[in-house]
Amino acid sequence: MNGDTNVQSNIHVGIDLGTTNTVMATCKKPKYGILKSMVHPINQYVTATRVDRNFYLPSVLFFDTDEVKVGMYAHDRKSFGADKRILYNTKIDMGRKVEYANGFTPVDAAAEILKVCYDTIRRTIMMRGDDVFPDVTITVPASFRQNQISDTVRAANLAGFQKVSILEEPVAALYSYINDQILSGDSDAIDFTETKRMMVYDIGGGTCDICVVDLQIDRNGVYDIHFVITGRYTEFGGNDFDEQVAIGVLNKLFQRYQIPDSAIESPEIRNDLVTQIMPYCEAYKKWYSTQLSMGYDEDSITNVTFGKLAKFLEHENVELDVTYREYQEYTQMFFSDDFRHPKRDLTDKLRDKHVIKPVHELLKKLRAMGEHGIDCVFLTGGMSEYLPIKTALEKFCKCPVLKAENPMDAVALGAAMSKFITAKIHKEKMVDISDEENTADETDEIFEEAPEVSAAPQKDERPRLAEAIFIDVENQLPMKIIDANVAIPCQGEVDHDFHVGSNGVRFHLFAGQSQWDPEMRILYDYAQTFNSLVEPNTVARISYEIDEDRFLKMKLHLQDARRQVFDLTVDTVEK
Amino acid sequence: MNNFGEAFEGLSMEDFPEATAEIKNNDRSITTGRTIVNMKSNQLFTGQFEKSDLDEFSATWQTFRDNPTMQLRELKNKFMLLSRAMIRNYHGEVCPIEVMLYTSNIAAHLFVNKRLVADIADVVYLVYRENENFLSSIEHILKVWKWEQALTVCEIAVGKIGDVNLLRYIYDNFHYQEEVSYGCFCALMESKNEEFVPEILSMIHDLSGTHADKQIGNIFKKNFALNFPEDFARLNPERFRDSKIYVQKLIRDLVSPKSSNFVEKYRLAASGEEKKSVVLDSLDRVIKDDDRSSSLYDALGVLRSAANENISEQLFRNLGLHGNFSQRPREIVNAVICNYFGYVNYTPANRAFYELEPTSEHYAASRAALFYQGRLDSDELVKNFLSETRPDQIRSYLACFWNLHERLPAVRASAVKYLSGNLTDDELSTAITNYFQMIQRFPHLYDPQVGELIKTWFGYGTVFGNSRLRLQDQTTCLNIINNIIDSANYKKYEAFLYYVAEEAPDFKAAICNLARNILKKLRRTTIKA
Repeated sequence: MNGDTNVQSNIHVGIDLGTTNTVMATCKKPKYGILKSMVHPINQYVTATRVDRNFYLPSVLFFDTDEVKVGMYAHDRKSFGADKRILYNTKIDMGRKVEYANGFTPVDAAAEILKVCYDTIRRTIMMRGDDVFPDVTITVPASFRQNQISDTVRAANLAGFQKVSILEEPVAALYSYINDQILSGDSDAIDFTETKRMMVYDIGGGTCDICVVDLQIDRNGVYDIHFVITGRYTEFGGNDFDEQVAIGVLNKLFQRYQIPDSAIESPEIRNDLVTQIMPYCEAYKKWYSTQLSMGYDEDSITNVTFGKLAKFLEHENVELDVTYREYQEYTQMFFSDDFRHPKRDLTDKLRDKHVIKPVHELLKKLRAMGEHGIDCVFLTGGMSEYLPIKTALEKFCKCPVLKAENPMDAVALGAAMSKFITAKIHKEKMVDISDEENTADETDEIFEEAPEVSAAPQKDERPRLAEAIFIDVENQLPMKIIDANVAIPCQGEVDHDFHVGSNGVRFHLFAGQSQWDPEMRILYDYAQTFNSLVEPNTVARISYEIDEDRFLKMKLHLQDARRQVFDLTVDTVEK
Repeated sequence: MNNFGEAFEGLSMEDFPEATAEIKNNDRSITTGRTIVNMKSNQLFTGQFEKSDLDEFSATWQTFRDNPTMQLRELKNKFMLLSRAMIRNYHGEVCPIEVMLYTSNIAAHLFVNKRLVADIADVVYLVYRENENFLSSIEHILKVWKWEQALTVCEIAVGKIGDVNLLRYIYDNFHYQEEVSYGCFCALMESKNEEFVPEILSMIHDLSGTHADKQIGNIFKKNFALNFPEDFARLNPERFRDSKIYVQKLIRDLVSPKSSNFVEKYRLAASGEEKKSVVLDSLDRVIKDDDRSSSLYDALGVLRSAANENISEQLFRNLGLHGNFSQRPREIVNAVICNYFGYVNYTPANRAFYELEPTSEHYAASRAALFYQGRLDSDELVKNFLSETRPDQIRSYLACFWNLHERLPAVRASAVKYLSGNLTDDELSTAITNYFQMIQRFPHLYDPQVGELIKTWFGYGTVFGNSRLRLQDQTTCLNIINNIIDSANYKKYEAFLYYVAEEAPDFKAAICNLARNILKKLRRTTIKA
């Protein structure tokens, strides 16, 4: 358990729960107004029996005979191929009703990863003289829907955290960026003393999160963030590069060894082959990213060969060679111009996987809102190290692209300092799983200690709701109850009298742009039996609250004599 | 042509090298990092349609909803036109079925009409025929959507398509859910796939006789022999010995005629002699009560078809219908009276029926025979029935109501007329009890106006809310409602039942509880805007 929540910890922990890696950072209560956060190593299995500290915790689970091992050891087993004992890339399944071969769900997998972070906090951070469990902020993509956030909070709860705050990854990355700017005293290529419209482009292992903010940082380091629009949730990241390169390599090997079609007829074999090769493709990605960032041009890049397969179908010791040209060719689809004519098949897994497509769509929406364009792009996330992405953004957006200093760490660093930034804006609101009260005094103390770091509260400092929320109603198409693009946090009552049957209600909640949005998603299924019968057609009102952690709470208020109120927060139909 | 063929004569398949392996970039089986055993998409649609598509389908549903006289054929044609246009516009990339069924929410309440369900399922099937890739869309709907009308339509369409995997999915997931089990059963029947006969029989075995169950039972009765003749021949009633009475009767009715199907033999008889032979066998079955493996009603059907003075006379004389009734079982005599003489104008019989004393055990059947002949109006017959107090006579009346056909509306209306008349408490009590027995057996004879009468008797909607019914009659009335209430009509009774359960001050706890239990059995409903 978290320990005594009545005493405020001096340390705040930020956890970037990533698709590929999880990073944890800490930030101490600022003295003299200087915020300094640092990545904190996480204890993990590095071999089957040895636990050691590592700055990155690969978000990979290995189901050993007696326990689930998360981290480096599990990661190193990825190249063994598809194995039901290994689980990763599960973040992209959050919010979905998924069950893996070993009975785990995405929430269970995230809980295992967070449990490792929880243990590290308990064993190391708390032992360094702080006997109070620190407050923790976990980051999620800004485009995460309510059910994805709810799954994340549930995972944190399962891992042992009683209280967590949720922060959007682009916001965290921005905090880190702004703090770096303030600390260094340097101004970037852009002058932020006047408000500039910035697109934050956060591309990690599995998700590509985009939003547009208006940002101003004055000469005293006082900043103002105003969120303008948030892009749609897009599953696209480093893993997709690895997978496409793996497919490209395999097809090359099939040609080279004249492998007949029948040899890979089984989906399991295809999946196994791709899975085996992907870790090598990850190595190629890192190698070519480094080469490019060192200034080598395409022609002077050194081609290397990473590893070989001891057994490839009927062949042995097969080299996995990928030249840079091949790498480009295999990943060309992510940069092509085809995005302007997207496929209409929404089930095509490559449909939204494109560097520019989400930018194009977001800018189209911005224009439709009557807003002006962007002045610069802030590029962050692990995959931002791959230079062609920056180049493509520069070419398409025709504006400067600023890159995060440490894109792998920026989100965790920003999350760690978020408490001391937001504390000056308003007393921090936590997702209080145990319903315990926060103390205001300590927060006030922080406010007094470091007043100069940032400015007065600003509205819309957090991303807006990317999609509207709809409810299923009888004999109608789903009805909108919360508008898209509302500022968060928000709360209110749906301005409509609903009517209920005598026995109970059941309905879905959907997220989408409109009733006719083909990309509409099912958020939750609700089924609620009333405690006691109500008069048929009793009027019911729906109240909602989306808190600072983007956590959606809904209540159904029956307007009958008993005034029954039902909490609609939990998905009541089995997953 | 020959030369071309000769050129390839020496080739075998081995001469054609197999294609080199290739993994597609968007291969869905690649799920690196995780072996997914169960995943439910939360994506509502599989194809990116445009708002204009949705508008057109919506408008059509809206028109249908606002205009009940719109012919189903017209609706079907309109949807086919819209679907074909969508297929053309998007080169088959977007499936119109999803748009059509999503917008069907506008008229979801109209899907109680099973003909509408069948016709829209037809549209789905025809659209599938235009592009077989749309099967994935149907699968998506079945696996992701929850809207009942959409699920039912897709289930039936899958039955027509005959996809075994989806049929298996439908059975595994829907056969136990009352709202979608009808579609599931129709799909299995429609598939005509013998692989699913065990599932069909298992569903029948578990029916309990609710209104929804009867819809399934009717489909079974109508189509099982036709769609699965070999399995029908092997159908063993013993297997259903532990089923509910409704099922046992269903199976008995279905199975018994087949061992000696007189009607079929009569129909197929080539010569007059053969026909005569079948008629004689039928006469023996009726008069001598021979061969109980064959159906009495089947034999009567043959006699009715071949009816002449001679047959009528033999039946009249042998069964002692002139007043000296033979020692034949009462059920047989009543069946002959109602099912033969009710359709054949035989003067001596008619005279005898008129002269029959109300105390006679065949009085009810005789009245029914006169009614079927048009010599007695429905008001008279229904009055006789609803005022009857002798259990055997009530049973006889009920046995005569099974084949009302075009006379059904008249009987329904007469029941309403009698029940709304100026009856004493005792008369009303008897009428309610008899009416309940009729509805238990023939729910289709229920008239919603009786529901309105029940509400009045309970004092619902009156100033003082006093009930004129005795406790036993209150129970019977609620049982009538319990018997006919279903997902299509519950709204008519929900408020009344709530009144009895929770609001009215004067009802006994047992009555309140009965009303409460009926309400609790109702499904939780979608919220209304």
